[in-house]
Amino acid sequence: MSAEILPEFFLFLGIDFFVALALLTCIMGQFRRLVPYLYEAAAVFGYVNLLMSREFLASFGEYMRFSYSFLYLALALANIIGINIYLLVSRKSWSAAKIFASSVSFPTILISAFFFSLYKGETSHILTAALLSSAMVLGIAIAFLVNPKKIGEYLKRG
Amino acid sequence: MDKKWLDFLVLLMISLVIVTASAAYYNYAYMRASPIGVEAPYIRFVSGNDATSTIGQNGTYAEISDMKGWPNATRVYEDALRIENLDSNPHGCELMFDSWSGDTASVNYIYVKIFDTIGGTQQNSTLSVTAQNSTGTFTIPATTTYYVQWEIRWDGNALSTHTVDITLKLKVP
Repeated sequence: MSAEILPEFFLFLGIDFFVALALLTCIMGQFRRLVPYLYEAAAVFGYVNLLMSREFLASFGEYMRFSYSFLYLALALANIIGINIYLLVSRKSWSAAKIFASSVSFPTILISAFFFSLYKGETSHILTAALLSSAMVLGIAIAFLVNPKKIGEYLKRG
Repeated sequence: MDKKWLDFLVLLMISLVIVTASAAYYNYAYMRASPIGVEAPYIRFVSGNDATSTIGQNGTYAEISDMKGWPNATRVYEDALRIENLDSNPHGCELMFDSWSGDTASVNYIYVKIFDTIGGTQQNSTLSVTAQNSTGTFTIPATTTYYVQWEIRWDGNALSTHTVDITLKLKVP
């Protein structure tokens, strides 16, 4: 019999991704000193989530557990993609972005997709995952498309 | 040491702690997540005609109270107790020795055998209380009753005051 994946596995995966991000951003040296520590804090936050999930295992339904676990994983993936875009757009480092995409972004997305496919997801779970992923993509897009200068001009005009 | 590598070392230490702790908690959660329910037992004990037995609640416990053996001769209780499969599927069972106490040194042998009918075909092997073994797995077909036969032989010097208490356990997968 194959092992059943619990919703908390996505939390666990998200923690691993944040931890990897913290170490990578520290080594790469293209980020402020605070950034790796922020990612480490995000991993600690995931661990606290895991603890809470265990404490409220009886009262939280499986759908709720899946929702916040997948949201956390989506956040971790959004940060990975965000760093990739940052390297490409802001740092204009095409080669670093390519290496990061092939060695970090693509494998993490593939791993997440693999484990999601193993999860005994019902239609509601798949729809929630799609919604959360779309929201994350939208969030990244807004963060990169919004130009602070244009907002300032718009506010001055108003 | 370079400040960057010092940061890396600190982050690495914290990372190791977080990953190890979260893996341990995930494992713990996995063990807690399986609910253990209750179902009606499909294998139960039923009193036989050759001995007096007390059957516990739900038929999952049986105590045979009046069996006696003879010194230097084998006494056989062909229908001491019965094991019934109430389910519509066959189930494999194994009768195993658990413990015994009393005047055990005066016992020549006590054998427990499972039969499909009284005096019928023996199922798997013989449980020897003195050897402390088991009957091995025998399969009770759907809605069928099997018979537990006891064979007791005391030593020639055994007295009427001698007794032994035996506990066996029935493994139902």
